[in-house]
Amino acid sequence: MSGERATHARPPRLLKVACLLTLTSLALICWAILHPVPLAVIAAMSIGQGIGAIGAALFAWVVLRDLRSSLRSGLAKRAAPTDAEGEADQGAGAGSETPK
Amino acid sequence: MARCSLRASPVEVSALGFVALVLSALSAVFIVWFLVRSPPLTVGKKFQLFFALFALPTTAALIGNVGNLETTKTVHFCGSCHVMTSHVHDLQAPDSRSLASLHGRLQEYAEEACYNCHADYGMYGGVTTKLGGMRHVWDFYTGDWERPDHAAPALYKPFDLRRCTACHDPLRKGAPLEHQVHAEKLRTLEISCASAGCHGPPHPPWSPAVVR
Repeated sequence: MSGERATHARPPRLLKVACLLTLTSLALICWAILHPVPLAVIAAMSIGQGIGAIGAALFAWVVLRDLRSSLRSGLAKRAAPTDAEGEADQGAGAGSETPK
Repeated sequence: MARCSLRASPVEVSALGFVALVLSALSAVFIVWFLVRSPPLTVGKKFQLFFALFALPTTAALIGNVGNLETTKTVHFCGSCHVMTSHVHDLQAPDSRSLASLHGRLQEYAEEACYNCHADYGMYGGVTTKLGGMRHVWDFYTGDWERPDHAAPALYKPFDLRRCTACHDPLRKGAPLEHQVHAEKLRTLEISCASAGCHGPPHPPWSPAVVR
């Protein structure tokens, strides 16, 4: 994995929030299993899952954002050499039009 | 459902609950490691995070839900609201002659005795029962049940006699004559199995003293 290109040197803050939300959600789920009283079960099945869903959505958002930015940078890299070639061609064309 | 006890703990956890706990622990360990170490976010780390933030918690939640729904059927769960203490004591009393206790002490009924009689009948009975249970929970947490003159806990709608007749069909071959005679009135809800002169109230009078 060490050879992989990192999209972020450190995890973005949004991802840390997603981690904390997921931990809270897991805590509520475990509470309901270990101490099954009505309040715990209702909290786990409503608040817990809601928080977990928000955490997963934030993670998905971070991944999609990274994908979008890497796509954009890929496109920009592809476009850059084409532009340089285009400029070179223009330069050559301009040279051929020099008066005889 | 199979239940196992966690060693050095009085907590009883169902097999499904145990699986959900293990999945939650795996997920939590990775998340904590990730938060503490804050490694660079590579594609590999994103895959690992996909499991830790989505796949494992979702599976744990789904399995936990099934386990929780099974747990909510148990007498232990119903009795965890202290207003039910009086009824649960009677249900499990070996010398009680109440209708609830006679049923609740049957081996096949014992663990889910409350649910077996009080769940709604029909295809969506489980769902409507749980939704109705939410109202009981609301009443439990919003009412002052320790007030001496508080009314006894009561059903919000008439008891569904199909819960009785599903097992005790009044028209089955060999059914007691009294059942056969009253079958039509039971069907039209003119009388109830728990009417005075028939089987009487299924539970003894509610005792707030036991609650306190």
